[in-house]
Amino acid sequence: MTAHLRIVVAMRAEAKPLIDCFEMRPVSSKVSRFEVYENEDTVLMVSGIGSANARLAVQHLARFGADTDVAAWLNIGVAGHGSFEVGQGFMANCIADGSTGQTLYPLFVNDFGVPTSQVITVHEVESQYPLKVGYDMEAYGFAVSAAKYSTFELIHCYKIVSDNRKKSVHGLTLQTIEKLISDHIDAVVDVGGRLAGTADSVAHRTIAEDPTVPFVKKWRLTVSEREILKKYLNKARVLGAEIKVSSDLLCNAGDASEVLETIHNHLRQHWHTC
Amino acid sequence: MLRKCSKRFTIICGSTGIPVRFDILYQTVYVENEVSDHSLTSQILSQFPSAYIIGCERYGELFNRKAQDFRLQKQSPSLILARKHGNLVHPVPRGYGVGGDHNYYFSVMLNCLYDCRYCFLQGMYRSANHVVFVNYKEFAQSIDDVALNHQNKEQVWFFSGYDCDSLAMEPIIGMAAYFIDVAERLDNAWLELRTKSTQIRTLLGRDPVANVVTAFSVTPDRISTSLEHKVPKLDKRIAAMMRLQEREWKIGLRFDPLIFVPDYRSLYLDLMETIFSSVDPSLVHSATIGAFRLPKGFYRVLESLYPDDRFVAQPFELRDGMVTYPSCVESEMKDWCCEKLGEYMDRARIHIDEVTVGAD
Repeated sequence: MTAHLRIVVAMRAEAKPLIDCFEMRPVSSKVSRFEVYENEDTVLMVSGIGSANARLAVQHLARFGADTDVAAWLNIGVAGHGSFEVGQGFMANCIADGSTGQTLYPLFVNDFGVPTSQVITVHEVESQYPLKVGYDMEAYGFAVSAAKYSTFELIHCYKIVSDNRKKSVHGLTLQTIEKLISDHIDAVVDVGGRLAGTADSVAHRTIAEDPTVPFVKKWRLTVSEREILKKYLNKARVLGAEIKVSSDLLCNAGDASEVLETIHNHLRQHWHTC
Repeated sequence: MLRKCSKRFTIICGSTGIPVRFDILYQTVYVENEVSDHSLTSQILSQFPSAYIIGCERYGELFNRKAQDFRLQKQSPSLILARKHGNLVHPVPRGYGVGGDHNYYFSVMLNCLYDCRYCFLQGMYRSANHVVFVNYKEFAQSIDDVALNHQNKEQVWFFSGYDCDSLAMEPIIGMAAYFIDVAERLDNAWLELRTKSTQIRTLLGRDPVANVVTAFSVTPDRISTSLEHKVPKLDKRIAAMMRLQEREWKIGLRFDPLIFVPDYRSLYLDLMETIFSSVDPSLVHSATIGAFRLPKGFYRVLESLYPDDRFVAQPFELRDGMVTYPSCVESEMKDWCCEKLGEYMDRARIHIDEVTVGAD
């Protein structure tokens, strides 16, 4: 089982510094309208602006890698802010949907060492900044969709303030956006690395192989019998009482129920010894 | 697999395999807007000056929601300060108690500092973050109301430490300091502080209160080391018991859960000898005995949380909705422990828990 980092950005100007830094190559697809880039362990998608686009991008990005892979999800981009200075990087600690008021909370099990702020995802550009929070257009769609594939400890948004009450969003250029992201590449690498580390620790705790495969070849098992067998075989492995399909223990087992009963009785002799 | 490479995201891990451990207990504290001005909120927050403080409407927005990873949160929990609404004092499950006429529990905290592999809290919540309800005054009012409803010298017990080990958090939340005062002014009430901690400074700093029992959950050292992560060493807990006894505070002993290992007799005999070589058994208020048991649903969660854990993988049985030891093992352990404990304490002070589960 492997861990991956999946990044969603809204604009190509936001993606370019990341693509360059991590030497990502484009992934060609005949079925996707999204631009996708990847290297061995990271996939990046340019979603386009807006919460709905971010939501779709996450759904599309989730198809990369095996079903059993553990992924950390990171939304990177520029945002307006009601109190932070332009150029300040921060992570979202609460993401609210500006139209419904619904909230999501990315959960911090890492010390990312960067300021955090609430982010309100708006559907139209916010130029008044009425609250002391961040304003973006993707975070909520990104997070609500990513939560279908991961947990909130592994779903985060890193935003860089591009506009505020002193500097209008209307003067923002693609070159400025690209520079803002470039200026924060070290922080992005650090945040991504910590997230990837956390995903890796989750990946390592899950059993990768199905131990029932050789048993299914020898005995006919229903789906529920196979699930029970899987649990028994895992318990046997953990308790140091490993059972192989060729074990003497099972030589007289004629059918699946006898296999399960034999293994169950065998396990009853194995207690934790501390 | 992510690899270390200047052009890639380098995995950043601590020595435990979990990325970066904090040198403070809480890096993030969530505060319900409703209690942001509460004096206890300010008092708690002042102890975490470098923590990120994040406001929320209701703790349920982020506690026990879907898409959360209990194990990751357990490694670095956040603190949530909230107000508890609705019923604040609950009747205990059947069979839980130490002989009182009426038994209730209250929880000013959800979840626990410690990480005991057998604990039902692991199966109870999707979140491992710690919730502290700061509206102590309302809890106290509920306790007053319940106690006053039981007249005629009926003894009413209030158990703290059911959904948490609240005494373990005493330096931060001051629960015991507050609720000992509450118990002291009630004639017919008893307060049990059930704990695995050694946080007794609050008690030592004041005169003993006759209707307060600090009940220590104990397991043999070898089992504790194996299963009770982050819990103070047994000798430190015994030292805490001694100091409380010296100051005439009542203590209780909770051999609950009893954990079966093939040589459990020698381990528990050694445990009792160790305890009673320091603690005066004649002054122990009560002892309880209960075998490991978990509701079926909680155990299933535990299996999925810890598929590689040797304790969890054991061949437990399902009886009456509880996952526990085979009945012959359970009754043999309980009978044997009861008999051995009876050599130190009179039988009337030994209570056997048949059904319930509790955190500490």
